[in-house]
Amino acid sequence: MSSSTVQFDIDKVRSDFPNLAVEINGHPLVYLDNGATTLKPQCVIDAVCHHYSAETANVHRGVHTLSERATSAYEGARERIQSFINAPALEEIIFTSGTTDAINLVAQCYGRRFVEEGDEILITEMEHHSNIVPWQMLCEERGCVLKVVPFNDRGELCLETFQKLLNERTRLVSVVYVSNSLGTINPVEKIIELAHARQVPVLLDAAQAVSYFPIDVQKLNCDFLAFSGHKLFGPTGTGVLYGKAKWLNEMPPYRGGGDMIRSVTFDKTVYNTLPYKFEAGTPNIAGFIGLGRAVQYVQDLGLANTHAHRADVLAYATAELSKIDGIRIIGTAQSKTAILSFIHEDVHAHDMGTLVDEEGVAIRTGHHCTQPVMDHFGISATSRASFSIYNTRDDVDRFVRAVQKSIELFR
Amino acid sequence: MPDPDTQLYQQTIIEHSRAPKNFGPLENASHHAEGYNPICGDHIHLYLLITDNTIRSFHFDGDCCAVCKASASLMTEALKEQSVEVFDDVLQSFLKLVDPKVRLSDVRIPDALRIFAGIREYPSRVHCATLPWKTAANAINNQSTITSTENSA
Ligand SMILES: Cc1ncc(COP(=O)(O)O)c(C=O)c1O
Repeated sequence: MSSSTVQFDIDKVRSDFPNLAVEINGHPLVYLDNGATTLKPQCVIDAVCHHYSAETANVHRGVHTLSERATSAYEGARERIQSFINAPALEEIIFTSGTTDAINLVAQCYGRRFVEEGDEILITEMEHHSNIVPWQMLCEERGCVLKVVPFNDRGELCLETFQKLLNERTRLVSVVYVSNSLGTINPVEKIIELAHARQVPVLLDAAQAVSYFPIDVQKLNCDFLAFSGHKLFGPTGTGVLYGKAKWLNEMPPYRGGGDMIRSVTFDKTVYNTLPYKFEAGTPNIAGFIGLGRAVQYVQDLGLANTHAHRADVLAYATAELSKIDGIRIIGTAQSKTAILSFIHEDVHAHDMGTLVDEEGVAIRTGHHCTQPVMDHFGISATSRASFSIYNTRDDVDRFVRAVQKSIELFR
Repeated sequence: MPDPDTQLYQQTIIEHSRAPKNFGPLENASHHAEGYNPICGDHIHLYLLITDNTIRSFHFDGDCCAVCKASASLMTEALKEQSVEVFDDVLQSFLKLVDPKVRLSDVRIPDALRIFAGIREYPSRVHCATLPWKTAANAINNQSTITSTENSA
């Protein structure tokens, strides 16, 4: 056994997540909807609780002790996140309400500064709606054109088409690092290299990637990176946009209000420096304090150390599910995270979701905010089991049995 | 375990989803509407032939879950050869049947449809059962817009 698998103590990890102890419909919970949101470890819950029970104050606004404490905890979270993704500068970490908000920020602010009529934005066929709609809105506003890189039937991007679609009108490439409906890990290093060869910046939607493997934005050399705190064991309503300062400095502010200004008179307002220029109003203080703690939790655990365990659970789940007659797995890329989307010829995904829930198994059903992916396969919905650090082979067994039971009901 | 009376996947529902009645388009339809539930992807077409204010034929097809399909199957069975007024009445009763705020004992509805009472326990699935009804109502009222259950989810 390698040293990395020895270090990973699954029982300890499971005991960190109180929500795992909940019973659902008379069964211990098997939580396989981590793609939608992950459970929270006790230390994160405690950090949020501590803020509200002992350190309530606004940030950046007071000299009193509580405000100092809250500000220091809140800004401490920014430092944690900077180190987590290895961002060169603290000012390049912008707090948002989630991935969606981060992408909208780039679409609006980068768009207003750098995108003109006839310019092109390049995305892929497997984007989450949050990486499609903001660009469509920009296209409507600025007359730019959205170009889409297709994927093959395994769910792998067609890099040749990507290369062909990149041209002198391309202003930005925005691509999902890990597909939430297919599990595909996209070759973002190659994409960035090709885009940069044409001086085109790249935004990575890392919503599904951050909880799966360590991310180093300097090594990746991406221009922007967006993710949500709640998919990284942190509170909902938190998200991060990393952006290279050279772009962020050129971009106009996102929303107007308090905190994002240096001085305001009715004649002239001077905007604050980074990152505050993009953070108007009172932020989700407790949320980011919780996210800082979540990142620390993940750093202590070492995402790389969880890798072998998760790869094992995915391989086992894929093998066991494939044994069932009539099951078709959607998303069979060579390089995948622990996301397993599937359909059954007799049982609609929505019925499957309700029926496995009766066995205490939580999965997601529907189009997963990726309708173009469903259209590609000519289907309307899939069931999706997405695994995280605390899931086990036992969870897989319970899940597969629940799926079998649902199918039998329809026989 | 859910109580058998409020259980959603009763045998009747399974059977109707597997072998739905009145399934398939209607060539001579006088009324047609399309319904869509973006949350689960249920997509349904309702076709009616109405003459003298009476539903002579009542058909549906589409790509939908068992609950939606069974609901459409039982609805079309219960209401063909009925007047449009009867449809409206039963529609109102059906909406009460699936609304947990209404007491079940206050709901008067044909027994064949009462089996959907169990869906009260599954708030996220109520739209699956109501989609065929709302779509049929739109067809009858000649609303050409696509019925979508998204906003009420
Ligand atoms: C790949 C991907 N991008 C973007 C999002 C949007 O994240 P949020 O809803 O937290 O803004 C999600 C979450 O579902 C996702 O999986």
